[in-house]
Amino acid sequence: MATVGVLCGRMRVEEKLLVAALAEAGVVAEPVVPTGLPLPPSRHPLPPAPAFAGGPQTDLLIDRFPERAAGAALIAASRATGSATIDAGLAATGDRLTVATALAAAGVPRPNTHFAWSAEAALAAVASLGYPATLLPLAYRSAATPLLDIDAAEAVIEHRAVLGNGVETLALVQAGVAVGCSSCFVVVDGEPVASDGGPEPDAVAPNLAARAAHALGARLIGVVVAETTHGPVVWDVQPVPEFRHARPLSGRPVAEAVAAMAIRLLKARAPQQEPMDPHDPRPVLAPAGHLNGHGNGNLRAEAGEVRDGVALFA
Amino acid sequence: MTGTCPECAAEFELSGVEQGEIVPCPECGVELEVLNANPVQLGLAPEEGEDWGE
Repeated sequence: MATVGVLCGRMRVEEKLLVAALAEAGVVAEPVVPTGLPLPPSRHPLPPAPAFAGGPQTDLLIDRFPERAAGAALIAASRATGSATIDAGLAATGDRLTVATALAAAGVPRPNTHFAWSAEAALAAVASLGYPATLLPLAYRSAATPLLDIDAAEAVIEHRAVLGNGVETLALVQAGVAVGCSSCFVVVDGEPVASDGGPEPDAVAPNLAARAAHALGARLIGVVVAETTHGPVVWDVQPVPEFRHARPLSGRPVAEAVAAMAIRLLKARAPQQEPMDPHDPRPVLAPAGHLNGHGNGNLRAEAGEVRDGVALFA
Repeated sequence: MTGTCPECAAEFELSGVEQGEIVPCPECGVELEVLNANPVQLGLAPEEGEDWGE
Protein backbone atom coordinates (compact mmCIF):
# COMPACT_ATOMS: atom_id res chain seq x y z
CA MET A 1 0.00 0.00 0.00
CA ALA A 2 1.30 3.42 -0.90
CA THR A 3 2.13 5.70 1.95
CA VAL A 4 2.49 9.43 2.19
CA GLY A 5 4.95 11.23 4.44
CA VAL A 6 4.15 14.61 5.89
CA LEU A 7 7.44 16.41 6.40
CA CYS A 8 6.97 18.60 9.45
CA GLY A 9 8.62 19.87 12.59
CA ARG A 10 5.63 18.81 14.65
CA MET A 11 2.04 17.85 14.00
CA ARG A 12 0.10 21.08 13.99
CA VAL A 13 -3.55 21.51 13.08
CA GLU A 14 -2.76 21.67 9.35
CA GLU A 15 -0.76 18.45 9.37
CA LYS A 16 -3.48 16.68 11.35
CA LEU A 17 -6.04 17.81 8.79
CA LEU A 18 -3.88 16.45 5.98
CA VAL A 19 -3.37 13.09 7.65
CA ALA A 20 -7.10 12.83 8.37
CA ALA A 21 -8.05 13.73 4.79
CA LEU A 22 -5.61 11.19 3.40
CA ALA A 23 -6.91 8.53 5.77
CA GLU A 24 -10.44 9.35 4.66
CA ALA A 25 -9.27 8.76 1.08
CA GLY A 26 -7.75 5.42 2.05
CA VAL A 27 -4.11 6.49 2.03
CA VAL A 28 -1.78 5.81 4.92
CA ALA A 29 -0.04 9.02 5.95
CA GLU A 30 2.58 9.43 8.60
CA PRO A 31 4.53 12.36 9.96
CA VAL A 32 8.16 12.56 8.93
CA VAL A 33 10.01 14.50 11.60
CA PRO A 34 13.65 14.62 10.55
CA THR A 35 15.02 16.10 13.74
CA GLY A 36 18.33 14.56 14.62
CA LEU A 37 18.30 12.09 11.77
CA PRO A 38 21.11 11.79 9.26
CA LEU A 39 20.27 12.06 5.60
CA PRO A 40 21.58 9.03 3.73
CA PRO A 41 21.69 9.56 -0.06
CA SER A 42 19.27 6.78 -0.82
CA ARG A 43 15.97 6.21 -2.56
CA HIS A 44 14.22 7.23 0.64
CA PRO A 45 16.39 9.91 2.19
CA LEU A 46 13.94 10.62 4.96
CA PRO A 47 13.47 7.60 7.21
CA PRO A 48 10.36 7.53 9.37
CA ALA A 49 10.50 9.37 12.63
CA PRO A 50 11.61 7.24 15.59
CA ALA A 51 8.02 6.87 16.74
CA PHE A 52 7.25 5.21 13.42
CA ALA A 53 10.42 3.18 13.03
CA GLY A 54 9.70 -0.04 11.25
CA GLY A 55 6.72 1.46 9.48
CA PRO A 56 6.33 1.57 5.73
CA GLN A 57 8.52 3.83 3.63
CA THR A 58 6.82 6.83 2.06
CA ASP A 59 6.05 7.03 -1.64
CA LEU A 60 5.18 10.70 -1.60
CA LEU A 61 6.40 13.52 0.59
CA ILE A 62 4.30 16.56 1.46
CA ASP A 63 6.39 19.56 2.49
CA ARG A 64 5.00 21.08 5.67
CA PHE A 65 8.32 22.01 7.27
CA PRO A 66 8.06 25.60 8.50
CA GLU A 67 11.77 26.13 9.02
CA ARG A 68 12.75 26.74 5.44
CA ALA A 69 16.52 26.40 5.58
CA ALA A 70 16.17 22.78 6.63
CA GLY A 71 13.00 22.24 4.63
CA ALA A 72 14.62 23.43 1.42
CA ALA A 73 17.57 21.10 1.90
CA LEU A 74 15.34 18.12 2.66
CA ILE A 75 13.03 18.73 -0.28
CA ALA A 76 15.94 19.25 -2.65
CA ALA A 77 17.49 16.00 -1.47
CA SER A 78 14.19 14.19 -1.84
CA ARG A 79 13.72 15.52 -5.38
CA ALA A 80 17.26 14.45 -6.26
CA THR A 81 16.38 10.86 -5.53
CA GLY A 82 13.39 11.02 -7.86
CA SER A 83 10.88 10.88 -5.03
CA ALA A 84 7.55 12.57 -5.62
CA THR A 85 6.93 15.66 -3.52
CA ILE A 86 4.07 18.05 -2.93
CA ASP A 87 5.71 21.37 -2.26
CA ALA A 88 5.88 25.00 -3.25
CA GLY A 89 8.12 24.45 -6.28
CA LEU A 90 10.76 27.14 -6.62
CA ALA A 91 9.56 28.70 -3.37
CA ALA A 92 10.26 25.46 -1.52
CA THR A 93 13.96 25.51 -2.25
CA GLY A 94 14.64 29.07 -3.34
CA ASP A 95 14.49 32.45 -1.70
CA ARG A 96 12.44 35.56 -2.32
CA LEU A 97 14.79 36.74 -5.08
CA THR A 98 14.39 33.45 -6.93
CA VAL A 99 10.63 33.67 -6.62
CA ALA A 100 10.43 37.35 -7.60
CA THR A 101 12.63 36.72 -10.61
CA ALA A 102 10.56 33.77 -11.81
CA LEU A 103 7.30 35.66 -11.34
CA ALA A 104 8.63 38.72 -13.18
CA ALA A 105 9.90 36.53 -16.01
CA ALA A 106 6.46 34.90 -16.27
CA GLY A 107 4.79 38.28 -16.53
CA VAL A 108 2.97 37.94 -13.22
CA PRO A 109 2.10 41.41 -11.89
CA ARG A 110 4.36 42.37 -9.01
CA PRO A 111 5.00 45.56 -7.09
CA ASN A 112 7.95 47.64 -8.23
CA THR A 113 10.83 45.74 -6.64
CA HIS A 114 14.52 46.32 -6.13
CA PHE A 115 17.04 43.76 -4.95
CA ALA A 116 19.71 45.13 -2.64
CA TRP A 117 22.78 43.36 -1.35
CA SER A 118 24.09 46.13 0.88
CA ALA A 119 22.65 48.58 3.36
CA GLU A 120 23.57 51.45 1.07
CA ALA A 121 21.79 49.82 -1.85
CA ALA A 122 18.71 49.13 0.26
CA LEU A 123 18.50 52.75 1.38
CA ALA A 124 18.99 53.91 -2.19
CA ALA A 125 16.22 51.55 -3.27
CA VAL A 126 13.83 52.92 -0.66
CA ALA A 127 14.69 56.48 -1.67
CA SER A 128 14.00 55.59 -5.28
CA LEU A 129 10.69 53.85 -4.56
CA GLY A 130 9.45 56.37 -2.00
CA TYR A 131 7.61 55.82 1.25
CA PRO A 132 6.03 53.66 2.43
CA ALA A 133 8.02 50.69 1.25
CA THR A 134 8.52 47.15 2.53
CA LEU A 135 11.72 45.27 3.22
CA LEU A 136 11.47 41.56 2.49
CA PRO A 137 14.57 39.60 3.53
CA LEU A 138 15.56 36.96 1.02
CA ALA A 139 15.10 34.15 3.51
CA TYR A 140 11.49 33.11 4.03
CA ARG A 141 12.13 32.61 7.72
CA SER A 142 12.22 36.40 8.09
CA ALA A 143 9.06 38.43 8.02
CA ALA A 144 8.52 41.50 5.89
CA THR A 145 9.08 44.86 7.56
CA PRO A 146 7.18 48.01 6.59
CA LEU A 147 9.39 51.06 6.16
CA LEU A 148 7.07 53.95 6.79
CA ASP A 149 9.63 56.76 6.76
CA ILE A 150 13.34 57.38 6.40
CA ASP A 151 13.99 57.04 10.13
CA ALA A 152 12.43 53.58 10.23
CA ALA A 153 14.24 52.58 7.07
CA GLU A 154 17.64 53.60 8.38
CA ALA A 155 17.04 51.96 11.74
CA VAL A 156 15.92 48.61 10.32
CA ILE A 157 18.37 48.38 7.44
CA GLU A 158 21.43 49.51 9.38
CA HIS A 159 20.50 47.28 12.32
CA ARG A 160 20.40 44.25 10.04
CA ALA A 161 23.65 45.25 8.35
CA VAL A 162 25.58 45.88 11.57
CA LEU A 163 24.34 42.94 13.65
CA GLY A 164 23.63 40.47 10.87
CA ASN A 165 26.05 38.03 9.32
CA GLY A 166 25.75 39.30 5.76
CA VAL A 167 22.79 37.18 4.75
CA GLU A 168 20.47 39.49 6.67
CA THR A 169 21.57 42.39 4.48
CA LEU A 170 20.23 40.75 1.33
CA ALA A 171 16.67 41.81 0.75
CA LEU A 172 14.00 42.84 -1.68
CA VAL A 173 12.60 46.32 -1.33
CA GLN A 174 9.06 46.64 -2.61
CA ALA A 175 7.06 49.78 -3.19
CA GLY A 176 4.16 50.25 -0.77
CA VAL A 177 2.87 48.17 2.10
CA ALA A 178 0.38 45.32 2.00
CA VAL A 179 -1.15 45.81 5.43
CA GLY A 180 -4.95 45.69 5.28
CA CYS A 181 -5.15 45.28 1.51
CA SER A 182 -3.97 41.74 0.90
CA SER A 183 -5.29 38.19 0.98
CA CYS A 184 -3.42 34.91 1.01
CA PHE A 185 -4.75 32.29 -1.38
CA VAL A 186 -3.88 28.63 -0.91
CA VAL A 187 -3.31 27.12 -4.33
CA VAL A 188 -3.44 23.33 -4.59
CA ASP A 189 -2.64 21.52 -7.83
CA GLY A 190 -3.12 24.72 -9.82
CA GLU A 191 -6.45 25.60 -8.25
CA PRO A 192 -7.00 28.38 -5.71
CA VAL A 193 -9.02 26.52 -3.10
CA ALA A 194 -9.09 28.86 -0.10
CA SER A 195 -8.27 32.32 1.13
CA ASP A 196 -7.28 33.57 4.54
CA GLY A 197 -10.53 35.34 5.09
CA GLY A 198 -9.53 38.75 3.83
CA PRO A 199 -11.82 40.89 1.71
CA GLU A 200 -14.23 38.92 -0.46
CA PRO A 201 -12.11 38.12 -3.50
CA ASP A 202 -13.23 38.74 -7.04
CA ALA A 203 -12.14 36.40 -9.81
CA VAL A 204 -8.98 38.35 -10.61
CA ALA A 205 -7.05 37.79 -7.40
CA PRO A 206 -7.51 33.99 -7.19
CA ASN A 207 -6.59 33.64 -10.85
CA LEU A 208 -3.48 35.72 -10.25
CA ALA A 209 -2.55 33.41 -7.39
CA ALA A 210 -2.98 30.41 -9.67
CA ARG A 211 -0.74 32.04 -12.31
CA ALA A 212 1.93 32.59 -9.69
CA ALA A 213 1.73 28.99 -8.50
CA HIS A 214 2.05 27.78 -12.09
CA ALA A 215 5.06 30.01 -12.73
CA LEU A 216 6.76 28.56 -9.66
CA GLY A 217 5.86 24.95 -10.39
CA ALA A 218 4.14 24.81 -7.02
CA ARG A 219 1.73 22.08 -6.05
CA LEU A 220 0.89 23.55 -2.66
CA ILE A 221 1.61 27.18 -1.89
CA GLY A 222 0.18 30.29 -0.30
CA VAL A 223 0.15 33.33 -2.56
CA VAL A 224 -0.31 36.77 -1.03
CA VAL A 225 -2.13 39.07 -3.42
CA ALA A 226 -2.27 42.77 -2.61
CA GLU A 227 -4.56 45.35 -4.10
CA THR A 228 -2.79 48.42 -5.45
CA THR A 229 -3.85 51.45 -7.41
CA HIS A 230 -2.61 49.60 -10.49
CA GLY A 231 -4.61 46.48 -9.73
CA PRO A 232 -3.80 43.29 -7.85
CA VAL A 233 -0.18 42.17 -7.60
CA VAL A 234 1.54 39.13 -6.14
CA TRP A 235 3.12 40.56 -3.01
CA ASP A 236 4.76 37.49 -1.52
CA VAL A 237 4.37 33.75 -1.27
CA GLN A 238 4.25 31.32 1.64
CA PRO A 239 6.08 28.05 0.99
CA VAL A 240 4.24 26.36 3.88
CA PRO A 241 0.89 28.12 4.18
CA GLU A 242 -1.32 27.80 7.21
CA PHE A 243 -4.92 26.99 6.38
CA ARG A 244 -6.62 26.07 9.64
CA HIS A 245 -8.80 29.18 9.39
CA ALA A 246 -8.88 29.35 5.60
CA ARG A 247 -12.17 29.96 3.86
CA PRO A 248 -12.83 27.50 1.03
CA LEU A 249 -13.47 29.22 -2.29
CA SER A 250 -15.33 26.35 -3.93
CA GLY A 251 -16.54 24.29 -1.01
CA ARG A 252 -13.57 21.93 -0.97
CA PRO A 253 -11.27 22.19 2.04
CA VAL A 254 -7.52 22.52 1.47
CA ALA A 255 -6.70 19.18 3.07
CA GLU A 256 -9.21 17.40 0.86
CA ALA A 257 -7.73 19.00 -2.25
CA VAL A 258 -4.22 17.97 -1.20
CA ALA A 259 -5.39 14.42 -0.58
CA ALA A 260 -6.94 14.26 -4.04
CA MET A 261 -3.70 15.49 -5.59
CA ALA A 262 -1.70 12.96 -3.59
CA ILE A 263 -3.83 10.13 -4.90
CA ARG A 264 -3.45 11.40 -8.46
CA LEU A 265 0.33 11.55 -8.10
CA LEU A 266 0.54 8.12 -6.50
CA LYS A 267 -1.51 6.61 -9.31
CA ALA A 268 0.70 8.32 -11.88
CA ARG A 269 3.83 6.93 -10.26
CA ALA A 270 2.51 3.46 -9.54
CA PRO A 271 4.09 1.71 -12.56
CA GLN A 272 7.38 3.53 -12.11
CA GLN A 273 9.74 1.74 -9.79
CA GLU A 274 13.13 3.07 -10.86
CA PRO A 275 14.79 5.34 -8.29
CA MET A 276 15.73 7.98 -10.84
CA ASP A 277 12.73 8.46 -13.05
CA PRO A 278 13.26 10.87 -15.94
CA HIS A 279 9.54 10.85 -16.69
CA ASP A 280 8.32 12.20 -13.39
CA PRO A 281 4.82 13.51 -14.11
CA ARG A 282 5.67 16.62 -12.19
CA PRO A 283 6.04 19.69 -14.41
CA VAL A 284 9.34 21.50 -14.50
CA LEU A 285 9.87 23.93 -11.69
CA ALA A 286 9.41 26.92 -13.92
CA PRO A 287 7.99 27.30 -17.40
CA ALA A 288 10.36 26.89 -20.30
CA GLY A 289 12.28 30.06 -20.87
CA HIS A 290 12.36 31.03 -17.22
CA LEU A 291 15.32 28.89 -16.40
CA ASN A 292 18.35 28.32 -18.49
CA GLY A 293 19.14 24.95 -19.96
CA HIS A 294 21.18 23.92 -16.96
CA GLY A 295 18.34 24.18 -14.52
CA ASN A 296 19.66 27.26 -12.82
CA GLY A 297 17.88 30.57 -12.89
CA ASN A 298 19.78 33.09 -14.98
CA LEU A 299 19.17 35.87 -12.53
CA ARG A 300 21.40 38.44 -14.17
CA ALA A 301 19.63 38.06 -17.46
CA GLU A 302 16.19 38.29 -15.88
CA ALA A 303 16.81 41.42 -13.90
CA GLY A 304 15.79 44.39 -15.95
CA GLU A 305 18.78 46.47 -14.99
CA VAL A 306 21.57 46.43 -12.45
CA ARG A 307 22.76 49.74 -11.13
CA ASP A 308 24.72 50.67 -8.01
CA GLY A 309 24.22 47.32 -6.41
CA VAL A 310 20.48 47.38 -6.99
CA ALA A 311 18.75 45.10 -9.46
CA LEU A 312 15.65 46.63 -10.97
CA PHE A 313 12.78 44.39 -11.99
CA ALA A 314 10.27 45.40 -14.57
CA MET B 1 -8.38 22.45 34.41
CA THR B 2 -8.17 21.76 30.70
CA GLY B 3 -6.13 23.72 28.21
CA THR B 4 -6.11 23.68 24.42
CA CYS B 5 -2.88 23.86 22.47
CA PRO B 6 -3.15 26.66 19.88
CA GLU B 7 -0.66 24.85 17.65
CA CYS B 8 -2.18 21.37 17.35
CA ALA B 9 -5.60 21.81 19.03
CA ALA B 10 -4.86 19.06 21.54
CA GLU B 11 -6.74 19.30 24.83
CA PHE B 12 -4.88 18.31 27.97
CA GLU B 13 -5.09 18.61 31.72
CA LEU B 14 -3.24 21.35 33.58
CA SER B 15 -3.00 21.76 37.32
CA GLY B 16 -1.33 24.31 39.51
CA VAL B 17 -0.07 26.48 36.69
CA GLU B 18 0.56 30.18 37.10
CA GLN B 19 0.28 33.02 34.66
CA GLY B 20 3.49 33.35 32.69
CA GLU B 21 4.53 29.76 33.20
CA ILE B 22 5.89 27.85 30.23
CA VAL B 23 4.47 24.36 29.70
CA PRO B 24 5.06 21.92 26.85
CA CYS B 25 2.17 20.53 24.85
CA PRO B 26 2.12 16.78 25.57
CA GLU B 27 0.99 16.03 22.02
CA CYS B 28 3.04 18.21 19.65
CA GLY B 29 5.76 19.34 22.04
CA VAL B 30 5.54 23.06 21.37
CA GLU B 31 6.25 25.34 24.31
CA LEU B 32 3.19 27.17 25.53
CA GLU B 33 2.86 30.19 27.76
CA VAL B 34 0.07 30.34 30.29
CA LEU B 35 -1.55 33.65 29.38
CA ASN B 36 -4.28 33.29 31.95
CA ALA B 37 -4.44 30.78 34.81
CA ASN B 38 -8.14 30.82 35.56
CA PRO B 39 -9.71 30.13 33.16
CA VAL B 40 -6.70 28.61 31.46
CA GLN B 41 -5.63 30.39 28.31
CA LEU B 42 -2.56 29.23 26.42
CA GLY B 43 -0.50 30.90 23.74
CA LEU B 44 2.66 30.03 21.87
CA ALA B 45 5.67 30.88 23.99
CA PRO B 46 7.74 33.65 22.42
CA GLU B 47 10.88 32.35 20.80
CA GLU B 48 14.15 33.98 21.64
CA GLY B 49 15.90 35.39 18.64
CA GLU B 50 17.15 38.45 16.88
CA ASP B 51 14.30 40.78 16.03
CA TRP B 52 16.38 42.91 13.67
CA GLY B 53 14.68 45.98 14.97
CA GLU B 54 11.43 44.87 13.42
